[in-house]
Amino acid sequence: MKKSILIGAILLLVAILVISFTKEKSIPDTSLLSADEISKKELLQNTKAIIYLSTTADQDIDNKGVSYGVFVQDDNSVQALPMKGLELGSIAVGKDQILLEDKNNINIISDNIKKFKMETPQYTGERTGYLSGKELFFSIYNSGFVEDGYSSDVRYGDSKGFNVDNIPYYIVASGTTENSVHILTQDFETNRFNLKEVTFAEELKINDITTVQSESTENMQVLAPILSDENYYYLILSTIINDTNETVSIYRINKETLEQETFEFIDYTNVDLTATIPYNYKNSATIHNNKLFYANGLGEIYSFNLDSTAVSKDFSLNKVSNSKVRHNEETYFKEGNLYVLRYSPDKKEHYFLESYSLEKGNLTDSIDIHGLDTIINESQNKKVYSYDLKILK
Amino acid sequence: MKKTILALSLTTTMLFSQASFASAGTHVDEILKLQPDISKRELLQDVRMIASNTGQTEQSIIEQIYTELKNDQEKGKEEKLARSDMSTYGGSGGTISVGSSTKGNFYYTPSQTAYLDHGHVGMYYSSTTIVESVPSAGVRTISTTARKVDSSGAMVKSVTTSTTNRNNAANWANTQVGQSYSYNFATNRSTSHTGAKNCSKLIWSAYKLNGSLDLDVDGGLGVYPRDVRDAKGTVLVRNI
Repeated sequence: MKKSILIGAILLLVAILVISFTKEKSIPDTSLLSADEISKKELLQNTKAIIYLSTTADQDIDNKGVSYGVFVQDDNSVQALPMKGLELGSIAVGKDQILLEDKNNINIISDNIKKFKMETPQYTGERTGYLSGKELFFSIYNSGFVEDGYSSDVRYGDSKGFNVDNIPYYIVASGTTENSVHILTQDFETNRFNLKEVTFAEELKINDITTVQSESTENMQVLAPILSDENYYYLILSTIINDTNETVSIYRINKETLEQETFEFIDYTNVDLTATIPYNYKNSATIHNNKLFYANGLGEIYSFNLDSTAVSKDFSLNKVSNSKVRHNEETYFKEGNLYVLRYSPDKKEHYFLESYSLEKGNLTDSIDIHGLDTIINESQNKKVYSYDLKILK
Repeated sequence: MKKTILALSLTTTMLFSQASFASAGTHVDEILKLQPDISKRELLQDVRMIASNTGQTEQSIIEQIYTELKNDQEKGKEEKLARSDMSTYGGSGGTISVGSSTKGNFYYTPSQTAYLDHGHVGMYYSSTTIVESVPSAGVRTISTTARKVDSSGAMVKSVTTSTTNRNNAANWANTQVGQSYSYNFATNRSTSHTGAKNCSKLIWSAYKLNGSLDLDVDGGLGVYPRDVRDAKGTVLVRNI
């Protein structure tokens, strides 16, 4: 009898193990959005933040790469819109509408969804944005060499339709203003960075602004988006001295005279440099109240006073880790606040969204996001990573 | 009598050759299971070409390919068991930026796709730019801040050769940006240096053409990411 029970228990255990290893992971239906549900659920009205998750390009090997636009609702639950994959894809926020993208499609979401199928697939994103002065969405991709040189393909348009064009350069940084996109291109032959402006009138135009006056770019990296105010462009570039030492500088370029100045910003000495890389270098800096703010990968927020050029370390994130290992952390600056998507193994929901006041340097709010952990960990035999965070309210 | 002997010998030969084909056929099926993204026709074409270039039989080529693939698969399984925190289905993505390194160095990361833990390698085109071949995208450049890899088992290695060779190898790899991805690891040592290629072929060709180095730990017909990682003449710079 005992033997039969033992055999039965072993068989049951084996069956459970087989099922758990072979069963495809899945996200609960209640968290997944279909296109039809977008209007029924008043999605955008109830959304406080959006997170973009995607598989890496190589996981599209079976044409089954996935991405999700994850809408964090007012009640802290999530609704995820599944799409095709796009590594380093991102979200653009327009007037009462947002742009979500995948390798084949542009989706404009307002109280409904308009999908634009694009002819050429893209596998690596660079920057997505909205030019409020032109009421125009754009998305730039790192597409690679074509027959006559490098191509960063561009999709741009609005809810009526999208055009495609290309920027014939490899882009290392970009930034958006009301009417144009600034790009920093890298010339590997001359080892120089070039600042250019991209405008979208009848057609896409690229205007040279200047070449950045620096020593060879061979050991330099870009840590932030290109920022600008009325008088200057600002670049945050670092020079890697060796494996543990690095100097981060602000390059300020006068818009009218193109005169350039360099200001020492942060000096890393005997530090694991990989850990200092921002959570997301596309969303790591902003200008607010005459100060430039920069959030590094150690959770430290530095500022640069635009008048006095004084530099200071303003504050650090609460209970921040100095590990180089990331868990889909994201930053986003909006209206004097820094929003941070964070992860804690000790919290039940693991992922939480904090907001900090830039002026006071203190934590002003923290919410636990219900269901994001499931979406990140339960994608069908694929692994998704976060690539963007946007705050709507 | 002669007729009987001839008939017997013919029958025996046919039986043996059928048995051999059956064995080779099984291995072909096994190879295709391990590399489902190449077609049977492509595989057999490559096998025929290698056989005609080397004088070996097609069957022995197929067996070599199978053995190499199985060895690589076993190595992947062992490494995964040794590192329980390695992601199950992460592709070559991960949680740590690869960080900067010297031009010509390369990084290795464990990489698990739906059917095989084959690893992945990419090369530093500059200290802050990676050139790599990834499925779907093909050969691309990407900044070291944007490229994240697995938190367990990833590493940066250098190649012991002159700075000129390292620079030339990296420059050559960059000229391949835009080429499509090749799913064929099994016979990639004998495929063309130009044209579609996978991640290990990109680095192997770069140093084969610039310094005559053979970054493949076990030779054979295919060069896999772990073969490049473990190749003679490569030195660990840092664990990522």
